[in-house]
Amino acid sequence: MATVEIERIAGDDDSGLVLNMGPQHPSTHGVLRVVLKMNGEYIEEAVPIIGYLHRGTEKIAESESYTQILGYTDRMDYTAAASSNLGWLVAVESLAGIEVPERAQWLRCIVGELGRLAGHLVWIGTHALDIGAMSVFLYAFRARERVLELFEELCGARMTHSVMRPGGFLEEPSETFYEKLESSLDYFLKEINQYDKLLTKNDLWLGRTVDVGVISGDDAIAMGLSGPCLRGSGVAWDIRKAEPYAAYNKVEFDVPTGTGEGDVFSRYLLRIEEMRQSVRIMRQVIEHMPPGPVMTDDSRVARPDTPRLYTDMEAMINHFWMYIHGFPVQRGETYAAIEAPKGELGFYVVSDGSGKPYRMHVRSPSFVNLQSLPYLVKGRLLADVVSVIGSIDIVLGEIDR
Amino acid sequence: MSIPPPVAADTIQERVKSVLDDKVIAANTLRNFLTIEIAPEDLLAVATVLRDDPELRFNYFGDVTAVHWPGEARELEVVYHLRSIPANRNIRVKTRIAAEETIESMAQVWPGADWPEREVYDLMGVNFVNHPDLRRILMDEDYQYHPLRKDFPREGL
Repeated sequence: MATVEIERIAGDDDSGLVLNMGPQHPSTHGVLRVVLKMNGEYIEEAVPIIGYLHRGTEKIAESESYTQILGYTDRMDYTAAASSNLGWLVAVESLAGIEVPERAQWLRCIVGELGRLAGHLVWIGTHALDIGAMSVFLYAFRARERVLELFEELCGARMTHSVMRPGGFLEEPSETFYEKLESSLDYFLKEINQYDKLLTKNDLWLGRTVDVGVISGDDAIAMGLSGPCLRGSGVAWDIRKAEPYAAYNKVEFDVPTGTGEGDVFSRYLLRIEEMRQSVRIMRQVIEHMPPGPVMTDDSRVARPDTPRLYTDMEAMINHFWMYIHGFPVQRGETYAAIEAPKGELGFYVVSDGSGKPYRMHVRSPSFVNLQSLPYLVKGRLLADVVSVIGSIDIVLGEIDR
Repeated sequence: MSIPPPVAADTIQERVKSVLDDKVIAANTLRNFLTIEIAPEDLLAVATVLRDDPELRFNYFGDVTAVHWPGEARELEVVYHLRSIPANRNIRVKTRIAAEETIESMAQVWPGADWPEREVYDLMGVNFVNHPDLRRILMDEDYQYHPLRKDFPREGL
């Protein structure tokens, strides 16, 4: 795959060195391969090569029902599976015109923010590890374990949980979940403050992150960056504020922009603050969540209750149809975006009126953000590539789909 | 900077109509999302107006994808999603081409279109002209097919 690439950037002359990084290199966060043309220790050209994890999710989706696709969106951004699922469901529900009950909307904020927390904890752990701060990795993964335990309490699965369904949630979470969540929030804050203390004023950390991988706000917009990569450059853009979904218009939170300088440090600083905002959102949700059902009573997507299933012929047929053919969705198209931990995650869905999408396209934030890598590292040192990749926060499962 | 509330699709449609009246073939609004359809040869001109018009300011390239409708004369439908970050507006721009036709690359207007267009080229076989570096991105470079086309079997080859 990359031989052509290496030959192309090496050119005909023997000047300089072509260095191949990945796809098995630990600091490339998965199977990213970067071919670098070096001039001494400075980078003249960087070419990211992706596709090693391409599973054809968009093609597979054309032969699965709208609910089954949840299993594939789970495996896109596997560090924060909740966000990918939420994005898919927002798109499906808007296309099919399914109303989601109020309580489920609030609950989705909890699941979405737990996903963000899990994603950001993996990010800070691995990012710090790449730069050489080993202890942060251990602390962050310990805290992430707590998030995964919460998911386990919520639905039994830890990482790829598919806990949401079109129309809401399969069932109301247990009392223990809410208790555990409430008691964990202070713990998360304490942990976040600890990373802050370990890194923010650390001289080594500052040396490796300040003024590294700089992109201006205008360039970031032109390049289509989203999420922390855009906000780090001082553009306070957040889909949760711009086009609120779930119950994000009913909770208060800030959109941090770090130092606004657009360097690795700024992106680091704002993600730390985002985790605090996540905790703040979850606290408000626990306090203000209205009572009520968590699943819609729309018979297209709601599973009939068990007693009815055994006594009512229509309920039986409905149940059978729902699980064999999926629920039909009216002809049309939709584009729905959410603010995933990595940025704008959009789903473009076209329906031909059947129970399966005619076309499903994912606008994945890591994919678009990664295209800025050659720009960010050009003329920089080799060691900066590692810190820039960490600060873009990529997940190859989402890039390659 | 605070994020303004989303602009209603009707307001955008009015403005688009006044600046691009001769180029828009069809326009419709569904769930407060404006879709316009244009001819492929007008694409570059329309994109430049959408980006530079002081009221529209679609400065952010959201996404590009294509939908394959086999059996139709112009079987590839290329779909763009654009955003305006300062004004919080959305628009969807569609255009139809035949499989062997080419289309102008939007990377000339928004550099962010680079990789998304490579993906569409790779998986759908839409040929973009004036693209800075049009190569396959997800599939292997000597791969022969465009797997997201409807005539490519879902079971694989």
